[in-house]
Amino acid sequence: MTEQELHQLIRGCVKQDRKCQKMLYKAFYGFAMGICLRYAGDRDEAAEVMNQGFFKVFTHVEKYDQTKPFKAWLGRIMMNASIDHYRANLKMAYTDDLEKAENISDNDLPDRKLNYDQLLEMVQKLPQAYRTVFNLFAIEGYGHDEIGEMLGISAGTSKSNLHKARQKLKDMILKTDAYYRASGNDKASYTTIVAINTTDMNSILNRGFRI
Amino acid sequence: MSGEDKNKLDELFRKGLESPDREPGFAEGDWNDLKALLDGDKKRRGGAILPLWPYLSGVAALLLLALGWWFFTTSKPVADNNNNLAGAKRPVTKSSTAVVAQQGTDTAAVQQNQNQHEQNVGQQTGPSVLTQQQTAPVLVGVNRTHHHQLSGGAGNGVKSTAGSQAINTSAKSNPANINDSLMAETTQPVTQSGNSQNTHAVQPIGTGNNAVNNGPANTNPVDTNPVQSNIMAENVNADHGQPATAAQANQPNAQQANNKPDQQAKPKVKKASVNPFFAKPQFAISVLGSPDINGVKSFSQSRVGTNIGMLFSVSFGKLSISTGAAYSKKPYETNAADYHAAYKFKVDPSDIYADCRVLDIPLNFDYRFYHKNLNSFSVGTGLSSYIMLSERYTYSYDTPYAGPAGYAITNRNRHILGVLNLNTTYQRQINSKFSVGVQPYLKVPLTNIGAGQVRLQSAGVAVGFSWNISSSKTP
Repeated sequence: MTEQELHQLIRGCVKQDRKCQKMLYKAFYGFAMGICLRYAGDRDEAAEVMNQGFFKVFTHVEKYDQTKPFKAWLGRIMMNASIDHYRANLKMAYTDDLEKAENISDNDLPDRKLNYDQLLEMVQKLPQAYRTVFNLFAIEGYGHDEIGEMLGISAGTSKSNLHKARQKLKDMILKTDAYYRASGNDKASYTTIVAINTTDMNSILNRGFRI
Repeated sequence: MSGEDKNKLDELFRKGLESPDREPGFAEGDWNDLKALLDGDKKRRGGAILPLWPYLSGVAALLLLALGWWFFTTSKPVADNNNNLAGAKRPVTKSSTAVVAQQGTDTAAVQQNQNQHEQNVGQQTGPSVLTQQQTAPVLVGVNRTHHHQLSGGAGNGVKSTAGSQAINTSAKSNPANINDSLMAETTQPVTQSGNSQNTHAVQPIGTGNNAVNNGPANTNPVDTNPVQSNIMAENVNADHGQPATAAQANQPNAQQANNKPDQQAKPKVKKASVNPFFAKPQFAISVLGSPDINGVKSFSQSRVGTNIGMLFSVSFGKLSISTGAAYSKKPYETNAADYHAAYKFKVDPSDIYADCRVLDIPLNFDYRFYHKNLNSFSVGTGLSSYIMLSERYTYSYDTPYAGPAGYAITNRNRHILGVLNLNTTYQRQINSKFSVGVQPYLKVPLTNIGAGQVRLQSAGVAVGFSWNISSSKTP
């Protein structure tokens, strides 16, 4: 979709034109769903959150500054919709106790390349409180103070939740690795993470080590 | 976990989740859900005129306030300007009736005891009195009867005049005073008649007025009517100084009015009230607070909310109209069957808990059916507009997780005149300015309320106090 076509669609959305809304929805469905899937527990929940996000988009589209990238604006709205959902879900949020998480083995991270679906499945298995913090910190790049403010928790809680999230993810990765090793299928999907790190070394150096 | 592992892990997920292997495909069902959400929102927002309603209601409230203020302020000059305004306004009615009286064509019904009154007056007054009475349109009810009774009353005229003189010895030769005396007779005889304008004052008569006293005129309800008494007094003023002609009496000018001493005029004007609806509106500001229970369709699953607000009311006799605003916290609980969100749940929640903050703008009419001493009771009804400031819904499921946990919106829904108010009020006056009241009320929805489109009803008891603004102006 060209920039001109996008702006035309947005103008239609401002007029609450359903056809334009549907075209825009279709065009950014995958992108928006990709964000919401990371924050949600499953696809249905992600679709719920995504629709809440698009609802905000279509009811406030006139506020969009067309000089800035639409995708970034949309992504932020989806993230905010996910955070709103998290807040609304606080009562039902399931939290593991830290002790259980601490018992996870301290083995090194295996150099196994996991595909998108595998990673997504792992993230979705995290309790919502951990998942949200992990997404905001590791994927979006926010600091603990910012996360605390966004979620209405302290920076300490944010750090703690991130730590638990990482422990759980590592445990899941190790279990997956063990499963592949046991099934003798380790060669097929085994690649070095080092390669990824090498190609993205600058990024890592720029981001530095957090926590 | 080491710092390196942490970084590796973060990077693994960041890069891995950055771009899906295959982007999730568009699902028509998801669009339909969103479309339903958007359609529901559009429906709730209504047509083009609906967004203007809050402004229109605001303008209406301002108009009401301005109208009230106008009545309030215009009543003041009437009181202060006793002679001029009163003299200028009232003769219109009086003159018309006076003309009728002069022409002898009056057949209008008078008061209950008119016949008796006629008899008395006719017997007690003579034609000479009547000729002068033509200048006194006041006597409307009374004078008309004089006119009719004149022919037969000649013989008694002297006696009557004498009787008047006995009462009002200072006014023997003054036709106006004779007129006054006549009024005194027809209204209520007085023992102190030095000031003829006060002849309507309530005093049991002395011995000099026995003839009048014996007449049933003393018990005539007309005599106790403050309006007529005032009018009479005013007519006396109009005749004061010179025996005016009928035309003059019909059109009393300011000069005549100015000639009257203020002392004589003041009490008359204060009592003057031609139209009971617009002559003396009472204004009050009330502050109310109340706990109430809120339920959907019934109060079986009610929850307690609170309200606090301010009302401005204008009373016309027994009727009053009031408007204002109240901030309400309205929590309630309902089930999926009564909750009609635009969003289609894949699995219906078992319970829905709502916490709504509402600006309630009522427009109520009250009728005071009892008023004795300091206590009064009234019943009222009216319509309220709900401006939904915020709505927060929490969904509870029987299953571990089956749908969204909640939904929250702000400033989305407005229900203009969508709620029927029914109330009854007990009010007790503390002093001339303040009173306290208790008001049990029921709010019945005429439309579905909020994002959940529920039949939200409320019942409670409001308590508050009122400041009667008008009382500060009228002693």
